[in-house]
Amino acid sequence: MTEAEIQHEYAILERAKRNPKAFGELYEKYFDRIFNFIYRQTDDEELTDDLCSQTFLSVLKNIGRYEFRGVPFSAWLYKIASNEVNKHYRKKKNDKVFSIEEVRVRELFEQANDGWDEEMMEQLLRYFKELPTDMLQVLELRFFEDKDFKEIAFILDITESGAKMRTYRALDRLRKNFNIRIKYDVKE
Amino acid sequence: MSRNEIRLRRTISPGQIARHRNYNKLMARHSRYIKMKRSIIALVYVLIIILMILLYMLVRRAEHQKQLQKNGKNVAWIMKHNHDSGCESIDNYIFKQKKVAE
Repeated sequence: MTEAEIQHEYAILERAKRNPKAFGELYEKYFDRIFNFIYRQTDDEELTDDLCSQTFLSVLKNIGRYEFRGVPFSAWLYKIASNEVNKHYRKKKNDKVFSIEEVRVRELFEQANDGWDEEMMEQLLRYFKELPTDMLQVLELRFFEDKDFKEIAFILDITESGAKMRTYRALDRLRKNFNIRIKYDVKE
Repeated sequence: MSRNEIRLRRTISPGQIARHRNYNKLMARHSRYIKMKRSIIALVYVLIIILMILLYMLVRRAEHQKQLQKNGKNVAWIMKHNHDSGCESIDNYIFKQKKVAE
C-alpha cells in the first residue's frame, strides 16, 4: 500500500468522523476482504454476515477514537474483525474453525501440481490441526491475507519479532514434516 | 492440545459476497445505535438530576430536624433554669397580669 493511498484513507476517515456516510467508500473497498477473512474462521455464511456487519458497526462506533499508528487502516479493520470472531468463539465455547481453500494452500508451496495428491493434502490438514491457534492466525494473515509482519503484530497485539518467530517456527515444522519448499523466503 | 477444526472449502464467489454487502442496512443500524446512545445519555442525566434533588431535599430535611431539636433543647433548658432559680414561667406571668387587669 502506497503512502498516498494511506493518506487518502486517512482523509476519508477524518471526514467519516464528522459524517458517517463518508465511510461508505472504505466499506465498499474492504467488505469482500473482511468477509473472506471472517468466513475463513467460521465456514458459515450467515454467521460471517452477522460478524462482518458487527465488525463494520464497531468501526463506525469507534471511528472517533481512530488514530494513525503507522499501519494502514485495514490493519485496524482486521483487528476488529479478529476480535469479533474471538468474542463469538468465547461466547459459544466451540472449537475454532479454520476453513482454507485448497488453491491457497497449494499457492503456499513451490510444488509442482503433479506432486500433490489427496493423501498429501490430508496430511497437511492434520498438520494444521495440530498447530496452536496463535500460529494458525499468523499463517493465515501472512499467507492468505498478504499482511506484513508489522500489520500482523498490530492485528494480533503482539510484537513484530513475535509475529516473525511464530511464522518461521510454523513453517520450519512444515518443511521438516513434509520436505517441501515454501515461498516464505521471498516474502519479507 | 489445540481446539481448532480445519476444513477445506471452495473459494466463495464475489457474487455470493455481494448478497451480504448492504451499506444502507449498516447505516440504519448505526443510526439506531446513535439514537439509543443519546437516549441512554439523556436518561442518565435525568437520573443524576433527580438524585441531586433528592439529596438536596434530604439534607434540608435533616437540617430542619436538627434545628427543631436544638430549639426544643433550648426551651427545655430555659424552663428548667427558671424553675431551679425560682423564677416563674412566662405563662404564669401572663396569667397573673391578666388577673391584675381584671
